[in-house]
Amino acid sequence: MAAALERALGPAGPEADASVPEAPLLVLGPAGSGRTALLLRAALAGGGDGPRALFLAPSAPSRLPEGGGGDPRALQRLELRYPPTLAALAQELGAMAARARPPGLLLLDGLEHYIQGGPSAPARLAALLLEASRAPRPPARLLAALRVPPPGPRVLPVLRRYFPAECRLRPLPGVPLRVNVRLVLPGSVPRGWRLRFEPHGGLNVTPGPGDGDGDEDEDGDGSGDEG
Amino acid sequence: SASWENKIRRKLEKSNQQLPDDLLLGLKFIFGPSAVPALDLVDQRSVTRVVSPSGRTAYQVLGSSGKLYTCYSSCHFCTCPAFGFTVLQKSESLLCKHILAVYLSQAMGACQELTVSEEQLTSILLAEEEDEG
Repeated sequence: MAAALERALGPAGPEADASVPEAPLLVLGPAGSGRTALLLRAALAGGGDGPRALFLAPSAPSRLPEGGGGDPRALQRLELRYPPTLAALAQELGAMAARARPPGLLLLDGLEHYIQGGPSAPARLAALLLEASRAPRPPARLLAALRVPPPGPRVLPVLRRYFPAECRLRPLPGVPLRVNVRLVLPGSVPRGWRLRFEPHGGLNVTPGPGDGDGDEDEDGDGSGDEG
Repeated sequence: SASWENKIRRKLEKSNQQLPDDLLLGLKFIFGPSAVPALDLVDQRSVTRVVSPSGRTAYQVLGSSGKLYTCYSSCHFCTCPAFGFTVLQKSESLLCKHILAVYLSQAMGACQELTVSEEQLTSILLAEEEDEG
């Protein structure tokens, strides 16, 4: 999903490589930082010719995006479903596997809502998603979003075992509706963008610094930035 | 360590499967305390590959205590407490004996096979972490 993110947001700037390797991607950000908007934008990237996308969340987003680049066909290939519990989510993923033509993009919003049960719950949720994206047919690209601070100190280290790529959203202090985005991939230079959420629901994206602006505790999980 | 290798060799001869010496040593070196218990599980035909009509798969491993653990196919996950504790929390092991037994059973053609419905496979994937018996 990491390459799809870069397609959605555009080239990250002069230091970006020509190609971004694909990897399951974890989107992190505090409440109101635009995780849902980013997922939907990634789903619609490529306009009408992009892959079919399945977007799953505990409840409907408050606002649906304007069509991908103005192409109404983009919305036609987006399927939205709202399983309220982990069991319902697992059933949706099972139903997805049983289709003759599974979607090419799998997006899950609200990971924090589905982490239920014992200490292995974050791992089981991540493993369920990976399993659904990899089998039985050619892998779907996977992107999942978690609100930070996470619902426990061990959640993020466990999720990172299953998601090699990570995208961090950081609202700019004192500047409403502006968010810094940093994409971190193993073995790759971090890439960055700046987002501006417009009042009518649009999203303006420009390349920005990929270095995190020297901040700490981006994840909001109480520990320093692990880099 | 000679007696350890003899124990392995006797087990394997009993089950008519021959692993080369260097592979046995490699298993012990990399997986340490999980290697022998995993080979025990293979020997006992404890690993079942479960398949659904859509082609989804999972593995069920019958533990020594009689408890059934679920291992996933395409990434490392197991419902046993050792996976949650030793692998995820402490990062002391790469995997638990059940995941290792799955790999070994696949390699040695020792998996049992079971076909289930889509709903049953979803239940198996949702199986909660089991307490050790």
